[in-house]
Amino acid sequence: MKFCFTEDQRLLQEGLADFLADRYDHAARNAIVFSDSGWSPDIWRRLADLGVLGLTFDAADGGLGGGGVEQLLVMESVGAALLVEPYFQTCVVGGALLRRSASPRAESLRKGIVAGDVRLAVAWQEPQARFAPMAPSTIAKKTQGGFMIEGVKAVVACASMATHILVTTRMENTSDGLAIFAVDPDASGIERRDYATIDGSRASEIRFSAVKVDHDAVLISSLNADSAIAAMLGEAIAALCGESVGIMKRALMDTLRHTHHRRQFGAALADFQSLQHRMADMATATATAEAMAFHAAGMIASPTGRDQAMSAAKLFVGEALRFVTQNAVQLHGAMGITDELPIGHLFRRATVIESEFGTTAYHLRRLTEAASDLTIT
Amino acid sequence: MNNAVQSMTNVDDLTAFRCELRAFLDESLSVEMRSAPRTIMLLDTDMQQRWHRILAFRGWAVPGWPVEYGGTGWCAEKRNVLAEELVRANAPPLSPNLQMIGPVLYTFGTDNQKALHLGPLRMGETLWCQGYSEPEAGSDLAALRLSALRNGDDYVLNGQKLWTSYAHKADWMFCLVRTGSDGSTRRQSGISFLLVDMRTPGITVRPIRSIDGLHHLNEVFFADARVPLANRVGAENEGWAIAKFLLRHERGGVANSQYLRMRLLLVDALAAESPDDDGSGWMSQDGDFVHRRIRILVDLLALECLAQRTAQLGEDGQGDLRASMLKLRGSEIEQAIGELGLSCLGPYSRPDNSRHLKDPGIAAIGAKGGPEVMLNYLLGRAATIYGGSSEVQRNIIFRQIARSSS
Repeated sequence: MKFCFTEDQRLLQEGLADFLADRYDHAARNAIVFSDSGWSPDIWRRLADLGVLGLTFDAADGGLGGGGVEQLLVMESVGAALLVEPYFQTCVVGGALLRRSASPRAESLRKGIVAGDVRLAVAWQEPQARFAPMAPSTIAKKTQGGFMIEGVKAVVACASMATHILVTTRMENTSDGLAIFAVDPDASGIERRDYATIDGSRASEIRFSAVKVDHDAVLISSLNADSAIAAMLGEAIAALCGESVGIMKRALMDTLRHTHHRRQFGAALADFQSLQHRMADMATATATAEAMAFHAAGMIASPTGRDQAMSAAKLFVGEALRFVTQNAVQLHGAMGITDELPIGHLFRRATVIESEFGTTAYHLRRLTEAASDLTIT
Repeated sequence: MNNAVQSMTNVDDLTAFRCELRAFLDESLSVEMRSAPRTIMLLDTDMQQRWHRILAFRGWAVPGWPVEYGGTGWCAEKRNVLAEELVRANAPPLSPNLQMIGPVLYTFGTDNQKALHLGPLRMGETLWCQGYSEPEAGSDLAALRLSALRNGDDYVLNGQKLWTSYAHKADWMFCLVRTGSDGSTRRQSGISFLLVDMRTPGITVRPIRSIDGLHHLNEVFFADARVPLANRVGAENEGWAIAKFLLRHERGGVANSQYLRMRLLLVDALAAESPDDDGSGWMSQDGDFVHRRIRILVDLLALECLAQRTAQLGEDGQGDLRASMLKLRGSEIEQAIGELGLSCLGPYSRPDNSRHLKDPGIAAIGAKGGPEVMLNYLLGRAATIYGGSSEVQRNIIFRQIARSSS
């Protein structure tokens, strides 16, 4: 794996970091979080103008053709800024599915994302299973002229912000396997309960009751759907690892600054060795997690070992993230448990990431079942 | 055999090389060598040096060194294949001092020093020991006092070194001495780096039995021991920079994941032959064992990723920071492997097998491989102490991150 970036990619990364530093500080973010919609169309437009939304889409779709490492760098910025706009859902989770569909609808959605007009929510989780993406109980029945979707989807992130919802279903005829549909959020038969999430974003419980869609709404079906969902999980985990690294780096930096300025017992907190050693451990966890995130980013397109690499990364980075953010709160003292400093919000986002795309325990189990050894190559 | 500089990443070539290696190892690695008990060295250092010479004759003892000093010029992938296959075959590790004093000599040594020492070192003809710690200079290494006063063409050494591993077997010691006056502002200035022939009159080596009941450690006394000025590496009073350069290599060595994987293979072998608590199966299938083992594998992978990223970033001014992180994590993983091994032994953690380890002719009590696993659990406690204790590593890490945040 090489860490050389093209001029375009370098400019994009710097442009994004500068933009977020300038326009997405704690107060600006709070204003967005507590607004009615919970996201900023203006920020979204600027992300499109910067080229961020098109980063990982092909040139044919108007994108920059970036891969896992570019995605990682953008997600690091997303994590450090605690971005609530649906970048991850649209470009990473939804994008992974759209890039694997040959349908004209998918193509127009990809182009729409790059242009800044399309935002996605991916409805794949269900209330009856905590993590079983390959076995949806939501069902698609063939009708004259199209399909009818029935089922319930759980904790669908950013659904209230989305222009389109991608839904995973099984087909009524078992041998037809799985299918992924693009659905209009306002279609008749969709009942949505929107709510705020602890990380400052929004999510929804969605019931599909006899929702009619036409044939063109099928993006991917059968075995292609299985492999697209598997690829989506891998890309999502790699991206979440990048976001986690951004959170950890900022939590560590904020903690270093706080302990440098805050004085107790006549000395800066950072003069106490027990706190110094805690921060050294936080830095070690952060640097190691970053290295693991780069490894995961390099493995997203690997034909072998991808799923194991992702499980190992999610497990390791997830535990590092918990360690670093919990201790960042601890070292901020009482200020760490207020709503007023970014640190509490970093901790809340970290807590959500832990349960996204499989918990530590889930991935430990998956590695145990695979029962083969992990290596770097 | 001398492979010229070659850069290759071709998968077929690597596969062919792996086959060549396996054939070589099958043929030249005896059963005794494969099963010889070891820590970071073989307990039987003579056997270790015999293996070193076999490997060196093939040109493979120091693959990562510059080609002009006997390195192979191979790409990282090919060196990695060699390291993997050596571990897989349970080949004896080579002396860790090889990768400490070697780089110091080819980076800072005089032409004479290189000519005199690099060849025998690479060929396994000389064994070195490290003279750093002293009674009043452990974690606080810069407090060292072993005095070296100029007298004619020599330094005259008086004082003591402590915790010197394998001083009783070594031909040479690389050693930090105090050559500067106490009036200097920094304790670090006034230290010089010397190469000391262990046969020098005035040097006495006394054994220290360690926590595993065996003899690895020593104290070394110097009474008017004369060392030629020509044996100094680098400038007088400026040895601290060399000492730190070497420590960085030592810390990298502790994080050597192939060594850690070899340790884990020994535990795996023991687990496959150790009954679980109720005798209904083997420890290798025990749920708790399996989970802990997977976590160690994930930690090992993360360590390798950190090492790889450190190598890719090169000297970005954070070399010390990352070397300390690698040492900290590597030593913790080594100890976790030790604990995993201990969990396989059950009641057989109790027998004292140190006599068997010293003399394989004496039968071991308990399962095959058990004594070595126990030895490594006990002596493994040293991993977070030597080469700069974990507490010292955390001090170094904090100093660096505090600097970069202000």
